[in-house]
Amino acid sequence: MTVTVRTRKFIRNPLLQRKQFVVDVLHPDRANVPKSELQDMIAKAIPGAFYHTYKVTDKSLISLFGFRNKFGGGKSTGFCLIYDSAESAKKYEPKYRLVRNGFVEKKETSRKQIKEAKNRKKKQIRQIRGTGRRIANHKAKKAAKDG
Amino acid sequence: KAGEVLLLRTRIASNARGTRACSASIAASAAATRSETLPLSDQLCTVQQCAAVSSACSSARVATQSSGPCSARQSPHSMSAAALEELAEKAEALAGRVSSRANKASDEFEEDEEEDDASYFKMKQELLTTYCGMLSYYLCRKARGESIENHPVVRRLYELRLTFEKLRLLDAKLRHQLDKVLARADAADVAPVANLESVEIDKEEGTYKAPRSTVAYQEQDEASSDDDDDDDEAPRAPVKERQERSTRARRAEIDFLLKERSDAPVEIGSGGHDESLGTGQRAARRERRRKEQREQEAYEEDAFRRIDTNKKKKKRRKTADFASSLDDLI
Repeated sequence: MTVTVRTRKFIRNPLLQRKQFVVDVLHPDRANVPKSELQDMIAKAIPGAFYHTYKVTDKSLISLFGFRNKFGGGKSTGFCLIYDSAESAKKYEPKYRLVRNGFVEKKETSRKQIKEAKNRKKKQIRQIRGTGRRIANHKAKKAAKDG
Repeated sequence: KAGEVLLLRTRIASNARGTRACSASIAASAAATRSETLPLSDQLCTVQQCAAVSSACSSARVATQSSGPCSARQSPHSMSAAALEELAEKAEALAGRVSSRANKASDEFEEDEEEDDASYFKMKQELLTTYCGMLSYYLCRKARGESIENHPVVRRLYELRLTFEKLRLLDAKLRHQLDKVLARADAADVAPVANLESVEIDKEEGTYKAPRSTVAYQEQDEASSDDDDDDDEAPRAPVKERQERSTRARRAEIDFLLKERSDAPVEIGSGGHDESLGTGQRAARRERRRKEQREQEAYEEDAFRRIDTNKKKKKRRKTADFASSLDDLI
């Protein structure tokens, strides 16, 4: 089925160098519409939308987020920001959205990795509680046993 | 002689059976004893005549004091034919007045296939007639001297009296609506009837042309500029009355009338009745929830961010949506 996109509450936001508006998507036969598809549609012509007074050069300057399906399906509402340039986008967009649009690479951060790194560091610094006699004795005994 | 007079006095007193009649007869007998020169038979005659006249007078006085048959609280102990006639007359007059209006109102609404508005009057009419009937039976028994104790009529009279008291309060509240109904009933005589002969068919184009002079539109020059689409021909209530009503009650009333008048289907909730009506707790909770949701959505669209990102809040939102729509499905 055809996907219809409508815009609402259009505002030109010069402080953050962008245009922002609310997006209504009508998708009768689909669960929802992927954001990449919406980016394409918005970059092209939406008849009657205000932002067409300004030119959209780069598709990746269009940032879409906050989409919620209306109860019963067929309609979802979300927000859209169109930045004037890549610099303003990098300045004002949150990191996760920049990653989505390909401006920034995501660092590989898994919890486990972080914890392991921390623990390794701990051992290097060697923070010993108390005098350390107990550990020393234990080490000596072990060396004697092995040796 | 004195003893005989005494006997007479007591007998007359017992026959009269009424305080006023008693006192009157006693006075008459006293007057008679004063004129002791009259023979006994004459005295008897005069006393009896006096008693009869006085009793008739007293009962007539009592009857006239009771304004209308329906408010006769203390039944007179002695009723003469004249008083009963008066009672009958008044009952007829009342019945005539009430029934004519009620019939007019009900006739008007039978055309519209609605009887709800006139039902109040009909009910009242029935109650009044039963009350009159009971009252007259009560009076008959009293007049004949039969005991009225432990008779179901008395209890029924009490019940009806209580009902009237309650209806009086209800009347006060509904007075505005009832006036509207009566005004409409009165205006029904003046309402125009569609004249099919005046329908014009344009021969050139073969289309229907509405007649120019339509009286219906002229009558609505006082048409309410209120929010309701209800075409109300009755004139607006006075300003003071409008202002006295609280806005919520008024809005509820308008919604109710709109619902009654409109042909649109009514959604019935899981309770089996129309859920949008109602002043109960659930309705209030639903209202509050809807209001909250609207506010939240408005804020979200203004601030360009979503609020329900919490797992708990998200769940609540989803279940609320589901529950409210499930009611419609069931």
